[in-house]
Amino acid sequence: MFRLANLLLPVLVTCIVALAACLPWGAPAPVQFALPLLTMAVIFYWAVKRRHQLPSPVVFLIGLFTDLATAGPLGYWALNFLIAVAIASYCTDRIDSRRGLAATIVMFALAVVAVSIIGWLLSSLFQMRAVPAQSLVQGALTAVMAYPVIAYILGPIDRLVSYSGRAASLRGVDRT
Amino acid sequence: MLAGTVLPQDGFIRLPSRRRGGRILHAAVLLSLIFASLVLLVLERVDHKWVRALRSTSSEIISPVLERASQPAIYVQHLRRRLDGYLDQAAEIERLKTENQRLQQWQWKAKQLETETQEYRKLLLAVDDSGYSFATGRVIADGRSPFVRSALINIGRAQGVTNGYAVVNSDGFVGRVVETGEHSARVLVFADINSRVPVEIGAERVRAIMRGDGDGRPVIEFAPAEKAIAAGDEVLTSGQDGLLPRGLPVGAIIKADHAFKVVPRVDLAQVDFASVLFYAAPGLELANGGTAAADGGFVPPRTR
Repeated sequence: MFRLANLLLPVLVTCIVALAACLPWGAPAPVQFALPLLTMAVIFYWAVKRRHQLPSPVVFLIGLFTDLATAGPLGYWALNFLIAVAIASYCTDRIDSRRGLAATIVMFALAVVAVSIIGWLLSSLFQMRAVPAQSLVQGALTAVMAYPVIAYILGPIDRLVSYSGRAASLRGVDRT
Repeated sequence: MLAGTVLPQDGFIRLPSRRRGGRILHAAVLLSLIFASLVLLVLERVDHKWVRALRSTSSEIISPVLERASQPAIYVQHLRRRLDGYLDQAAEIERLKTENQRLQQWQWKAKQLETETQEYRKLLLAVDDSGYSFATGRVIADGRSPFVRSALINIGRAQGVTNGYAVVNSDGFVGRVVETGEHSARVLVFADINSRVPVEIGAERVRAIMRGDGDGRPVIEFAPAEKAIAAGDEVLTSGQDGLLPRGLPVGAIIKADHAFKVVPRVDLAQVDFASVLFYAAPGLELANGGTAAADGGFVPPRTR
């Protein structure tokens, strides 16, 4: 049971956050714009910490769900989330993860900047004119500022579930 | 301990991911999915039938999930509003008293005007176009991105909703229905970048087009007499497109960045309930192949 929970934790948490990001919270515009980016932050967190437990096809499906629920162009958030995974994979292979949260925030900021530029370019191409970038910038800043909070919340949950899963595995009582 | 292992802070041994084959496979899958996303974006741009089919099928599956999941979000919205209300209760009571006095004067004036209008109508043998029927639904998902500002509501074809119908709430015009499922409908908010609404402005009733710009302050375009427009003028729908009813309150004019913009009456971030107006517009009947409520077949419910 604990091992299963440990295995499914990244997928479950990401699905819950993706669903919550589409709901009408009545938040002000910058926060509302940042909500799907919070899903991206969670995906990024797991891609850095447990890359193999959040497979790319699952990330793709979560992106499609976000597109359908928010009525955005199909493939937009799927593309953004996959880019975040690609950047996370590239950086974790090359940067020493023990440098801690600061390095991860810088990596995430890089991903957000990339995604925002791509978002702006795509939306401008879709509309055939330069769309206002103010909301995008505000949303991106909010997401970058929210990343440490997300890491602070997910860190203990990750450690607790990992510890329980590992302990159950060592005891040999949990064969799920 | 295994050679070459990494011992991170949580104390668990993790093997380094140096299996070249696994990494190549991961990269290949990732690249294929990125390519698939780009293909989907292109299909979306050309409005391919697969994308349309996927959207209509998925909205029926997703909307019940969102409806259930939106309960806590709505509770949080109400809680925040109540908290805000408690915090400035004294000021709010004072404001309401003043507003009540002002409204009572307006009520008296409105009654006078109503009687007068009825008399004129009788004289002109005019058709009475007031008193729309409507269905009210709850907003169950809120879509906001560089591409779109829309809301998903929990009423659809089963309640008589059709594409093109105007959507309002207690403050005024919200948008129009652009996608209809059996029990859900997608509302394109008028601040959306794809939205164009014919409006009339101020006492002079200057006719213009209001273009959504995605950031909640739509821009006024094609106004023939810009000199007649001033900051603070009221903006109403003009109904010139033959789709929307005339006279729905939209907002007020402000001047910003050398352009006239509209400050919406409706707080677009706080819409939790919205009413779909069953307005039998001639343009809608043509667009929907004569299936709008006007054909006398469907009598929608008054409220839901």
